[in-house]
Amino acid sequence: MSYRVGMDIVEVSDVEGSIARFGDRYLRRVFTQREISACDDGSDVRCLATCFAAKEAALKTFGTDVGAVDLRSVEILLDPEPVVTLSGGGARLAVCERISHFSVSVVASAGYAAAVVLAESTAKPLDDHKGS
Amino acid sequence: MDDRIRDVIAAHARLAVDPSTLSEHEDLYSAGMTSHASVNLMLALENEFDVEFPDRMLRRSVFENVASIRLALVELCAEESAA
Repeated sequence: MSYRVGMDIVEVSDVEGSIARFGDRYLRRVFTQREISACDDGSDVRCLATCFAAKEAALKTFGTDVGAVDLRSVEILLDPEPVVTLSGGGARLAVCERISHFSVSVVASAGYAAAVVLAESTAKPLDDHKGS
Repeated sequence: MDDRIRDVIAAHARLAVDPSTLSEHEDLYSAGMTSHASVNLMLALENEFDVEFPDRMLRRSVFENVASIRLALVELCAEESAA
C-alpha cells in the first residue's frame, strides 16, 4: 500500500468571474449536476470553488497531468463530509493506478478554497515509475 | 488564426508573461496558467471560433501551447465544415 497526496487552491473570485463570463456553459463543463445542485443550484460560489479545488487535488493523486480527464468524472460532494465519486476517465485512471480509497479535507474562506486529498494505492509509489 | 489564439490566451490564461513573447511550442502551464484558467481558455476559444471541444479533447496536452491549440481548432473546424 502506498499513499499519494494532492492539493490545490482556487481563488473564489476566479470561479465567480468564470460564471459571470460563461454562465451555464462553465458550470456544465466543470461540475456534475449533483455538484451544482449541492452548491445551491450553482449560486454558492464558495462551494463550487471548494469542489473545483478538491477535483484538482484528487486528479493530482493519479500522478497524471491535471486536466488529462474530464473534470466531471471526478465528482466532489461536500456534505455531510467530502467524498470523491469517480466515473468515466477518472474511474479508469483510478483502476490503472490501483487507487482504492480517497480521504478529502477542504477549507474555504471568502477569498480562497483549498483541498488536500490522500489516496490509497496498491500500485508502486510514483517515484518508482520513473526511469523504469 | 495564431493572432486570435494569442488574443484569447492574453485575455483568459492569466499568464505571468506577455503571450506575444511565447513561441508556439512554449508551455502555457509553465508560463503560469492554472488549471482553472485553462477551463476559461477553453470556453473562450469556443466562443471565439464557434466550436465546441468534445470530451476527447478535454486534455492538458490540447491546451498546453499555441501550436497544440491551433491543431485542435483546425481539426474541429474541419469537422464542422464536413458536417
